Amino acid sequence: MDKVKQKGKNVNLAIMLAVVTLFQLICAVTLISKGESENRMRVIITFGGYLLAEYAYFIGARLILGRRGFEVELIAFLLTGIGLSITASVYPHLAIKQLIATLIGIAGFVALQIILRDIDLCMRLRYPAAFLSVGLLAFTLIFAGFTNGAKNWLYIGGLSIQPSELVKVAFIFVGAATLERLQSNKSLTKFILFALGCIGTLFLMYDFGTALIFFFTFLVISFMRSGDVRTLILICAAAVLGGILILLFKPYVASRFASFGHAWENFDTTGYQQTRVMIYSASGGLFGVGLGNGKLRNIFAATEDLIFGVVCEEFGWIMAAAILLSYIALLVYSIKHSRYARSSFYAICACAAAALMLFQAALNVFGVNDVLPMTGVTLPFVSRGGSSIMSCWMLLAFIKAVDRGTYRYGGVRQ
Amino acid sequence: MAEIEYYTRYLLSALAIAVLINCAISLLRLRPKKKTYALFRDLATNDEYEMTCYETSIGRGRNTDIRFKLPSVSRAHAVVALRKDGFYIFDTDSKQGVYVNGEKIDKKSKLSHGDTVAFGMEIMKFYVASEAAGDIKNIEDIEPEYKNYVLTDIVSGNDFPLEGDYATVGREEGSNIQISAPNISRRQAIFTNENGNWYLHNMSKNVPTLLNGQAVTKPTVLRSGDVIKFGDFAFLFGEEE
Amino acid sequence: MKSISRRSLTLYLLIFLFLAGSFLSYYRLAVNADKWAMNKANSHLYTDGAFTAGDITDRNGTVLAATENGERKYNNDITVRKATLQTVGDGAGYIASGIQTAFKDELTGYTLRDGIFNLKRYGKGNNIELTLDADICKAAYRAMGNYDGVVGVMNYKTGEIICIVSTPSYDPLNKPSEEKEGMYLNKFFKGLYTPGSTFKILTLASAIENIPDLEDMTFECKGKGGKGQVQIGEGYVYCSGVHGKIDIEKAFNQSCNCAFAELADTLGKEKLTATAEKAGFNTQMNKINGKIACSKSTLKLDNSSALDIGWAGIGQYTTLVSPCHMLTLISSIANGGTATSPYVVNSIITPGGKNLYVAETQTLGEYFSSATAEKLQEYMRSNVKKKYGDYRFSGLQMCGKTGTAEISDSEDAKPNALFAGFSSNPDYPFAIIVVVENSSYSISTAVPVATKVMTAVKNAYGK
Repeated sequence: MDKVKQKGKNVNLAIMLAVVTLFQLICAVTLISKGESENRMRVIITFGGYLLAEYAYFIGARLILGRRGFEVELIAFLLTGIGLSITASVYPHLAIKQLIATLIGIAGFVALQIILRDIDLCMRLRYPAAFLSVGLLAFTLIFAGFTNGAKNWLYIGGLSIQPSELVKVAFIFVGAATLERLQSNKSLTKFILFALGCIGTLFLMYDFGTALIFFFTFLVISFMRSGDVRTLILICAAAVLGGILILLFKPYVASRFASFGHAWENFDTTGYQQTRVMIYSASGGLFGVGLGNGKLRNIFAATEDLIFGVVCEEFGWIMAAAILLSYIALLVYSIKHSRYARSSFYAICACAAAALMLFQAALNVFGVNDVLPMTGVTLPFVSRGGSSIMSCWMLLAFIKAVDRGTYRYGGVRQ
Repeated sequence: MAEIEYYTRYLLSALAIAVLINCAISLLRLRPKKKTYALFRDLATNDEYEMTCYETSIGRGRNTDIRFKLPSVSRAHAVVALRKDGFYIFDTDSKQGVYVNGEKIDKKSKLSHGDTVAFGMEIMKFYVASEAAGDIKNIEDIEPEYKNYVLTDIVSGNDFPLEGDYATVGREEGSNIQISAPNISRRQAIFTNENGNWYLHNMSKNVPTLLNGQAVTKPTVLRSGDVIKFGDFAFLFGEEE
Repeated sequence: MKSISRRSLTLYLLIFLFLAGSFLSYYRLAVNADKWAMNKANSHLYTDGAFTAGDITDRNGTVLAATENGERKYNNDITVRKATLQTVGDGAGYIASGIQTAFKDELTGYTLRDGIFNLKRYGKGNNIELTLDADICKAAYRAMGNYDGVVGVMNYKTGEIICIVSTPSYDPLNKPSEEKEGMYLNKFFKGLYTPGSTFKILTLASAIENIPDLEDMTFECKGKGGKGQVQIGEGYVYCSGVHGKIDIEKAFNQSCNCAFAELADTLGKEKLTATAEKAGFNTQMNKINGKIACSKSTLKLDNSSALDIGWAGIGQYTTLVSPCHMLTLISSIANGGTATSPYVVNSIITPGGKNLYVAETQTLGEYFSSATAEKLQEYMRSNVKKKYGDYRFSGLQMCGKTGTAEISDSEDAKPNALFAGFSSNPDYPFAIIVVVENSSYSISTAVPVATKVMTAVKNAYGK
């Protein structure tokens, strides 16, 4: 066994799990005491199921797999719990649906960890994953109708999924590679073609926020793979040029971003959501007005795009700041562990996944605070949305895989 | 009710902070300790190259983990990777190829403790840091005993016993077999010991190393009775009496 | 692997940018929090346009504004509502200096720590107790009749303002569809008026300090057709009457323009300005209760001719005073030269009964030396005794000075009438300022208003 020694201490799982449980129980009790009687059962099922999944995961990982580091999962479980509480409070009838999506996400997280264990398998799966991704996006482009101005939703038998969210996982999976592959084939051409396919279809769907996230992730992966700054600058220049062309020929795209920086001047029009987020965030104060007492929830897309405002209002600025800090922590962790990862594949996957989350959080948080144009992307783990929560949990598997302690094996002669 | 809620807000914030800040701080501070998984030892210079990552790139290029500034080594020559079932070496489209125990590998080969690996002119011994050995420096202590061989100068009859893992031949000071003649290269050749078998590697560009009259172009295993010629100097390879 | 991990370090740049953006967001939030939270679109505070906030009471506990069952209610008496409107403020924020706007945070109980949670906790915010006396305000509002203008009364020892009335006003429960000019303005704080003869107090103060033989001086006010005139520099300053040869006391009693223009000419711009600036001219007064800004009184003589200075000496020219400052100035004379900072909010109390804020008496420094103040008191007392009539203010030992400010050269324009005075009876330590816009001579309009208000004060605070 390859025993991994590390600097720094892991958190105490028992204590942290107790704290997380208490947090979620308080949220559940608050919801039950405030909610209408018909919703009580829903809250109980939602939180019961969630806590059960949480304990099953931690007990399994600790006792069966003998793992020690659980910070990554604890953060994810807490953030997901906050999101679930808000969903159960604002849309009680959607809480169980959101729980099921979360459970699928956690299952995907575990499954992806198992797949990632076998690096040769991963290498073999890259091509199928690439073709599947582009195919899925193309399918969506052709068959999806417009929802809120973008063609990014697929409805299958009453279920609605956002394929671009799931493709995020595949995109990183396809982009990363082991060191010997990177060294024998330095060309980025294939990956650029793949990225072009993904980002292009997203553009055609008018899903600019996600396209931007993909482009950013593409830059991170490409740079980590090749270190080739010149090509990347060229690509960025081309992208900026393309962006300008789009804005020139499709002015209605520009109008989406027109109110950026002038939210207060467009108080009841294009700045409506941003100003309401700021007003109600301010109303929350450091500790919030309490779960269920907010008013921002009545604004359109409160539990998705504006979720940061809801957290600020109902849970307070301090908790919101802690959420931002946790995204940073995930990225720092990935960067630090990349040198010690079992393969460059894991290093690139983890850094790309953590950077993607941070970037997406930035677009979301700064969008509603009028620091950046609003792009309508979700806040990782916290926003409501099945596809989003699933993709976040699966991305977490990449971050988990960068840590050598996750997989306890080594090629050391006995 | 409102009073309970008033204090619950503080409690919720405190709980979330306790988890998020604790985990975040832990994540910010956690770093695996540096550990040496294996090492290459340069047979010529005795330099050691430790492998502290699961994947180690080898080559002449600036971005490689182990860098040999030799013309016979490609920019990106090879990668050594620790996989589930042990170490592997990958030839990453190098010009000169990668030789393991004298055999040129095709793309990928398993690598075991004590293997000799050649990257162009660079010849290395590969050692795995085992937990049983504890420390790499002690690996030699647990090496098994093998037959001892000797090189005999055909002209003078002087014996040069071959000991340990390797022996160097050349004009250079400190060579195991030093031949102080102008028509011998500084580093003419190297003998390496692979599990008791001795291999001959030519290291000189200008002065040919001949084995039984044939020029040595790749590492070649030696048998008792072989005649080796370095320039004008001839030696007989045989078992020690 | 080294190269890849080295490349991953560039991601720290992303973290840095993320931190920078987060700090910017939080900085903006922290700086603008109360402004944003008080926005009219905030449905925590505004249910169907009505403002949910704590109670505002006067010094006797009379409710001026309160929230009951989610509705904003005002005093039952329509006259009290109108009289206190500009001080209390409206719910919609039209009256910027109103307590309901300036003290929004306090009234809603908004704090950075708890946000608007206190509103949830208690159903309303903090209560504010004003120093105003609703009855006096009501009396003052009635006394103003149909005139526009200002009445302010303050305790010159403590600084409590017990009466502020600014007209025109309206009933907050029944807002008129037609807007009258100035109805959203609290003229006591925000108004600026030409002081007219009330400025002679300052000219006199400067003369007392700078001319040793002032009391031996005589002035000549002569002219034709009932109008006196005196040549100052290149032109003439006119007087409302022909007063002949008079001494300073008579000149002050009669408010003789000739005498005071001559005094101003003798003093010169430096001395006059020095006296005025010591008494608070040309400087921004401290905000009332730290929140409500008061207009700045100005005397600018830098590039003035001798004639201009002459006109300035009788309170014309470009000189402007704010009623709040004028009242403070009069109070300082009553208080022996030391100015007391006026305030209108007495205390802020949480719904739980805890005092969040209690106003304290603060001095603004010495406006006049005590000797000058004593002299001014004597002269102002003499005005009431010899000119306005002590019978108007029986028992108050009133001191005062009237003023009639010409605000337009046109023949038809009516002047503003002012009265500034105080009771020198220590039982009634109150000073008063009255401005009646577009009236006639002050003795016929401003003084009767002052009489009514001070009588109400005397009756309310009599022993």
